[in-house]
Parts: sequence; C-alpha cells; structure tokens
Amino acid sequence: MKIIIMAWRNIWRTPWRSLVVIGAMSLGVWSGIFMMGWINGLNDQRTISMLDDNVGHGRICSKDFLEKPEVFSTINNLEALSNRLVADSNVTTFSSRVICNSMIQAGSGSAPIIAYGVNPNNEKKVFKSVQNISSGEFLKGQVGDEVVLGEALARKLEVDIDDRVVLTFQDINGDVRSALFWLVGIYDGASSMIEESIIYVPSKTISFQMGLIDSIELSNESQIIAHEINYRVKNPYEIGKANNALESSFLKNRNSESQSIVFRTWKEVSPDLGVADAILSQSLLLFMMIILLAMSFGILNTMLMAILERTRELGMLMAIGMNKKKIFKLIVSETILLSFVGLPFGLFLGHISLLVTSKTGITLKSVEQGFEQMGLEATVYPSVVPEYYLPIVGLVLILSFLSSIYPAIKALKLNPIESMRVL
Amino acid sequence: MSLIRLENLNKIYASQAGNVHAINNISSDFKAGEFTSIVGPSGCGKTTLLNAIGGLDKPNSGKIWIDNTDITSMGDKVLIDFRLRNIGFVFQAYNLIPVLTALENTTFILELQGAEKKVRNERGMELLKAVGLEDKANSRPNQLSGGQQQRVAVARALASRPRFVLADEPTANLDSKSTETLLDIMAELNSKEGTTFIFSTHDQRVIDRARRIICLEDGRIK
Repeated sequence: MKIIIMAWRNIWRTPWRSLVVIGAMSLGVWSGIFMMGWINGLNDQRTISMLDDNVGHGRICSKDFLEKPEVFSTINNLEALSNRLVADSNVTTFSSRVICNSMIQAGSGSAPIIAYGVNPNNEKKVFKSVQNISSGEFLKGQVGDEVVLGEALARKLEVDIDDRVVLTFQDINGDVRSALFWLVGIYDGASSMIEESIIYVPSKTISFQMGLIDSIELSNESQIIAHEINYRVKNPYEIGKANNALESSFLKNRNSESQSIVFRTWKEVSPDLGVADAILSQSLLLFMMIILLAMSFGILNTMLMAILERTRELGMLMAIGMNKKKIFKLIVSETILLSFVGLPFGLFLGHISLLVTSKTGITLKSVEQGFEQMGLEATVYPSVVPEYYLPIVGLVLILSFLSSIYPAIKALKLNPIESMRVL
Repeated sequence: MSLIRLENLNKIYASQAGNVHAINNISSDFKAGEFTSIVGPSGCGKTTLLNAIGGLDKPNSGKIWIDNTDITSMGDKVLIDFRLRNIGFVFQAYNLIPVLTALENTTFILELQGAEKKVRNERGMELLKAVGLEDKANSRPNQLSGGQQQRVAVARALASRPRFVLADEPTANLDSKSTETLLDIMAELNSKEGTTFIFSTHDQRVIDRARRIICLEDGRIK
C-alpha cells in the first residue's frame, strides 16, 4: 500500500512534468478514440449506403442459382417463402427479383448489364437506389415495356428519357431473344460501377420474355417467380441472428422434396463489406497502439529523468533495506499511475465528443463531391465505440508496464554507496 | 560476546595514482550496547569501514561477523534483508524520503518488514516523542529544519529495534544546538533501549560523548 502511495506522491514531485505527460496521454487517447469513432462512423455510413443501395441486409436464393445462375434456377415456392418473411418479426420488408444477364443496345453502342426484374413497390422499400431517380420516374408496375438505367450507363449509351433500348438475353430454353424497352427513368446509384451495370425492368414482363411464365401468369397480380429475395431487418449489424432464425424456421418446415434454399447475410453477399468491417476493427486497434506507443516513449523518457534525479534517494532506499522487488514495484507503479491518470480523461473526452458529434455530424464541405461519387453523404456521423474502451485500457496498461521496465532496470542497477554520493 | 567482529579486513580502491588501501588489515570487536566513535581525519577510511560493517560495501578480504553470521559471504538479496532486519542507518545528509511525513519516514522500515499499521504507528509516535518531534509527525522533510530531519533519521534508524545503528558523520550538517540535542537523544536511546551506536565523526562534540573511541589513520587502527 505504501509503495502505491509513495508512487502517487512521487509523480507529483514535479507536477508540471507529470501534467504534461498526463495531458499528452489524455490527448492521445482522446484523439485515438475520436479517430476510431470517426472511421467507424464513416465505414458504417459506407456499409449502410451499400446495403441500402444495392446489397440489402439478407438475400435468399436457391442453392442451384448460387452455384450457377441459370435462367431456370428460380425459387420454387416463392409464395410460402414470402409468407414466412412476412411472419418473421425481424424482417421489416423484402423484395423479389428476377435476374437477367443481358446485353443492352442503344443508338450509340452496347454494354453487358444485369437486368433486375422487380416489383417496383417492393423494390423501393428495400433499396434506396431506386428512389434516387434523377430524371424521369421509376417503373410503375410489374408489367410493361419500361426500363430504368443508371446515370453512367445512360451517358455511355447516350440515351435519354423516352428513348428506346434493346435487351438481348437467353430464355429458359437457351435461345437468344431480344426485347424492346422504353427508357422511363434514370437513377443516381451508389457508384458509377453500379450505375453502369444494373438496370431495372418490370418483373413479370422480363419473366415472360425469358419464358419463365406464360401469358396467363403474366396477367396475375401476384409475383410468382423470382431468382432471389432481398430483405431488410431491424438492425443490419445483427443480421447473423435474424438470418439464422429465418433459416431454422424454414428448415423446420421443409420436407425431403423441398428445394435447397440458401440464406445469406450481407457479409456473405458482399464479402468485401464484411471483410472491411473486420479489417477496420483490427486496423483501428493497431492505429491506437501506434498512438499509445508514441505516448509510452514520452513516459519512458519522463521516468528515466525521474530516476536520474532521484539516484541518491533510490540508493538510500536500497541501503536501508528496500529490496529490488519493491524498487521495481515502485518504478512500475509510478509509470502506470502516470498513464492511468491521463487515461480516464482521454476516455471521457473521447466519449463525450463522439456522443455529441454522433448526433450533430461533421460536414466535410471540401470533399463533398468526392464523397458523393463514392455514394456517401458529406456529413459524417461518428459512432460511439464503447467496445474499444476495454482494449484501450488493456493497451495502456501493457504499454505503461513495458515502458517502465527500462527505467526500473536502470534503478535496480544502481549501487547504493555510489548513488548516495551523487549530489 | 561480540556483536560485531572484524577479522583482518581490507578494502583497496584502484585509482590512477595507484591502489588506495582504504581499510588496511583491521580487526576489532564491538559489543552490544556500545556507544562508539570511529574518528580520524578525512580519507582515513571511517566511512568505508562503516559501509563495510553495514554490508553496503564488500571488503577485498577479511570477514565481518555479526552475531556469529559472516556477512561478507552473503549474496546481495540476503544482505539487503539482513540490513533491513538488523542494521539502522543514519546518514550525514539525513536522506529522508521527501514524499513521506516524519511519521511515515520513521515507520518506513517497519513497513518494509511487514509490521502492522497499528504497531508501526505506535512505535513511530513513541520514537518521534523520544526525539522531541511528536508535533511534527505529519510534516514532510521540507517542512523540517536540518536538525529536525536528522532526528527523524535517528528515529527511523531505531524504529525496527535494529541490532546496531551506524551513523556516518550524523552531526556534520548541524549547528551546535541541534548537535547537542541529537547526541542527548542518541545517548538516551542507547541507555534506554540498549541500542548499539557506531559513529564515524571528526566532530569533537561527538567524540566527547562517545564511551569508546577508535582512531583510524590511513586505513589502520591507531
């Protein structure tokens, strides 16, 4: 106990020097936490933007379609699956798609694209990209010869509203077919890559053109065929749980003749987003470690100065019988206390500034355009990152301990008689 | 029976001018309860002899027996513990711990020995009373005069009831009044608690109070 009290009092023998170190530690922890919250917020914003625009929170398709996306690999019992999604409390909304790999042709050229055959009302509930119509309007229904293109593709093909385009694709029998569509809308997508590669057409019309439904089914109101279903849940970061629950409920009710259905989370649908999340967590801790490592050199220097100034005193302590273990404990305690005084201030400042900015957001006017091109908003809302606080405390503890070792060893090597001669 | 026995003790320091025989074949005995002054001019080896007896410095040859234990053959770790439990030190420059109060300084060695707080504080207050600093128990060293600091240092040296106290020129930095007070206190504690005191000094006032005087010259007992 006395060692800790001595250590505490020792760090206040040179208050200004200690305050500088404590201040540096607070600032380091604060800036580190704020950067973590900022980058996390930015990443969340990017992830949510991608999920909202094109990926969705979860995706269901047949196992066959996942392995080989053939025209005929549709979901067999779409209605039953839709009912299950409606009944699931985690699922907020969903939309079915017919997917058609096509070649689009217009007056000035052609391009390979993926045509999503959608029910416009449902698609709008799941994806924001179809709400960002920069010119014209989105599809009106499941039937019609309308098409909606991305801005980049419209520019590339030099087409505008009311122009016609031709889609060429394979039907269910493997025959190549062409269909004429009229451009009714141009959307502003998350990225130019998405805008260039994805177009929207009415689900029933494209299904009919592909030979997936007949003319009677074409006139039915409900959608009866789809290659995939995209759905949203309450919290996209808890999609794993929701997905498992959905899959279990489906497996419970299936029989041996049922089709194999695959339930995928957004992390599986778009692994780059999931990997980015995992890499980010590790990178942020590494980033924090670098900040704290720099801090620990400051602490090490302070402690070395303290040892140098107190050579005589340390010699006396050894002379009167303070053993090496206690001398070591004294130096380590001083170092750790020095770090730990700054730590709560840094954590508090970091937490408060994240709490405030997570509500107000920070607008980056100078990079607004660049952000928009990436599909991000210029106002970034940092996230509060309490999950990092404990690892930070651990890091500070470890690095303070490590930075105390060299000064402590220097102290232990002192010779009592020679040290007491030092003026 | 001797408390401390020195046998053919030698300590040689190498210097540019050649080897310096700081202690030259000294043999002597110190009995329990002695109040001894080691006197001699500067550089005669007083401090070196005290350091050797206190286990702070190893002689080149010879043996030091304390209560029939040869401390010259002890390892560092054992020696530190031996010092803690058997020897009290009073240094010329007081060497109190600046961040501790007078009472905390006094009881510091007891704490290192693992004594309970109540026992420590009782003993600490008893000694501070004995050295006339009861009212300064909560003062830090920088709030005390030189004489008062040295009295606290004496109290600290005696707190654990060591077998003997080594005091290296304890009055060198004190004025006459403080010197007299300190000597009175040490003499009283010597008679009351039976603590053995060995001083190194060339202060005539200390020499006058000693009951045994060992004169050193060029590292030898004269």
